[in-house]
Amino acid sequence: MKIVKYILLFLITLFVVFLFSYSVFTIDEMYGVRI
Amino acid sequence: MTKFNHRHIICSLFLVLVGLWSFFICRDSYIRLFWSVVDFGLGIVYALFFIYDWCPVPDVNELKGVDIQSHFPQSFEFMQEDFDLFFELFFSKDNFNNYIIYVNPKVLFITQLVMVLVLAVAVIVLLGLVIKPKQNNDYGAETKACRGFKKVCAKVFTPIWDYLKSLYLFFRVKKYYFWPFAVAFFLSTNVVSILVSFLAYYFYLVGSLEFTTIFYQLYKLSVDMIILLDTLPGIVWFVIGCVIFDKITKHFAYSRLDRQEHKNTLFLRARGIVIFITGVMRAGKTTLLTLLMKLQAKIYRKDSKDILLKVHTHFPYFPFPVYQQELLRLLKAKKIKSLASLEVYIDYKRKKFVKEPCRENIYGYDYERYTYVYDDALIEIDIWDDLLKYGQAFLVYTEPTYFVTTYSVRETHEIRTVGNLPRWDMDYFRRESYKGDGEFSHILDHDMIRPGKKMNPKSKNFGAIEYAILGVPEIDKERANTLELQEVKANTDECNQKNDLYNQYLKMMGHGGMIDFKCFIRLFSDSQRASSWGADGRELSDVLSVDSVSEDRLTLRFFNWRMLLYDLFTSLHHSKTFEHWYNRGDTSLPIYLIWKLTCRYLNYCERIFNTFGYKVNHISSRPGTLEGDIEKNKIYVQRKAVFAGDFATDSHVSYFRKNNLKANMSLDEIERYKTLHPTYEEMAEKSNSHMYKKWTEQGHSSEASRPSRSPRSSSRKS
Repeated sequence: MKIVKYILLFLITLFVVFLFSYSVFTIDEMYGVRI
Repeated sequence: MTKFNHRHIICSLFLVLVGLWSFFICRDSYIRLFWSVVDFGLGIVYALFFIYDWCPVPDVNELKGVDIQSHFPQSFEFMQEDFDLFFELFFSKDNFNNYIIYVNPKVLFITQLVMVLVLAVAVIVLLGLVIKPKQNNDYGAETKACRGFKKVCAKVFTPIWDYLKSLYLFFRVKKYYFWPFAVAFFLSTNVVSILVSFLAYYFYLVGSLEFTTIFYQLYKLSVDMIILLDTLPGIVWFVIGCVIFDKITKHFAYSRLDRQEHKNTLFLRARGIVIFITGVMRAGKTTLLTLLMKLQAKIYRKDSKDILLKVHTHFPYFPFPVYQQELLRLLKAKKIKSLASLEVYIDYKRKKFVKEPCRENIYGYDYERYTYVYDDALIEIDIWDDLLKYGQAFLVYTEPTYFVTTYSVRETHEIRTVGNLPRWDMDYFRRESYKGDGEFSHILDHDMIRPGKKMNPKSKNFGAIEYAILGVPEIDKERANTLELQEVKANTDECNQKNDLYNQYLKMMGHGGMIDFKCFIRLFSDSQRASSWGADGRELSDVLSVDSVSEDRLTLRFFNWRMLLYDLFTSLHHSKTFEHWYNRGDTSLPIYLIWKLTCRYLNYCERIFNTFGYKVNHISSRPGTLEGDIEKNKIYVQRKAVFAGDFATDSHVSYFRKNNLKANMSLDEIERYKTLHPTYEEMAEKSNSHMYKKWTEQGHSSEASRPSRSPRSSSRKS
């Protein structure tokens, strides 16, 4: 049960990191497009 | 002559470095600070005089002094446009592909790093499996490698670490180093500019009410944040961020503990004055009992304080400190001991004042100038009645412990005084580990609450309890139920459950402990089964049945990754340590390193569990008649609230210890069975069991009535 919990925790953390980095990348791209 | 401390030179040099960093790296912060202060000054002027034409408008909607651009939208239109663009790009395939291309080398690097780590761990694990552990009996010795490592640590790392710690403490204690550093740090990192800019904008908004300018303020804030982040390397901000994050999460965790306690208090306040907890053995009944009693003590302290403050509002100019000191003096001299003796004292003072009215006879109160009688729209309250109430509440408030129990409970609230009204520190959640001696509970002599026949006929203690928290765990063993008392007669010379009028006392005790419509006496009890306590007593109570207890939980959020590490370290520590203890008597370097790594972290986690840990007790609450609706409730049992040396879960252990010493026998010395089938003698003679006794007796009687038959073993032999 604990292993499932930790795998879930790992996946959620990975997703949050992905969302953050992808958002920052998109913002950078966005201003690159505008400039 | 005192020796010059060389740490002064290091701290001075550090301050010089901070100054140079401020001057060369953080110049933009000071430029921003200058313009923020200008805006702030103009903002105050604008807030006060904005209705006049001559009043200057502060330039809060301009970014002055620095030439730094931010991508943050400066107006609502820009923001709308940016949002559309952002989401369009966010969900576009090309953008995602670009992201993958961009992120690929980084992911590759991380994957390679993880691979190296995994390989290293795998090698260590394999080595552990391949290399057979040495076995020895060198008790208390250390291997050469271990001794060498410890020597290096003692000679190199420990002195450096100790020196750095001493340097930090020196820097922290010497205010003339610490405060200039703190001021320079906050000014240089642009934190002060951000706060001053916020205040300047607030004053500008008071006069102008132009809320649309908020977007430009956010833009300014983003520029200020860029300046802030540029002052120090990213890793430093990461560490500072972690520390702030830890503080914030702990703050919220403490707030959650407070909220849980508030819910518990509301639950307790809604119950009657007799509480009866039931549940199976080791379900945590006594823990819950102690928790509720501690909570009740908190409630009494708060309620008595409220009465003190309420009386003060009736007669605000009465010299209460004089009255408090008089009460403390009389309490110390044992001239006042209880609510009753206080009543006698106040009666005496009242009569004296009526006979000879003067300020000296009423604690110096200017009764001619201020009111003597207070009208609360219900009745007219005489000042002496209020003084009696105040005195009674004062007695309750200053009481070291309210607990009168049949097991030992320790009150861990701390009293503080500077010679005036004492103040209680009841916040045990935020306290470090409890180091005081505490106040142990009073022994409950049941004769004190027996209006009828007493167990000790000479006892004169009946009536000693007016206000108290009575704690009687296992009350069924004390009071029994109707079935068990069938043979007991009321009309006997000896004291028993039928002639001691105990239940009558429970029914009436509330009258003795009332102060200003608040009751200050309550009984808490527990037992395994509700029906084990006779109906006459039980029906006075609220029965709380412990249905289930949750697993340990934490109020601290974002602890999951640390918990993962805790599980890994626990597994590593437990398996390796036990294996090592089995194989060896000495200490080797690998096990020393494992202990060094894991123990400190596990202890850190244990402190977190003890500070923020709690369990949820699921409770069914119903009236003592055991009829009517069952109400489902939750009670939160926090570790810090009840396990900080407040009571012993094995409180009746002395009985067992005494008997064990009398028996003078270890478990191993108790006779064992010889085979898997107990012999007839083992059953009949050694077990002293009712069941075996019955069997063997029947065996004997049937043997006597029937003709004798030789045993099976002997027939086989023949």
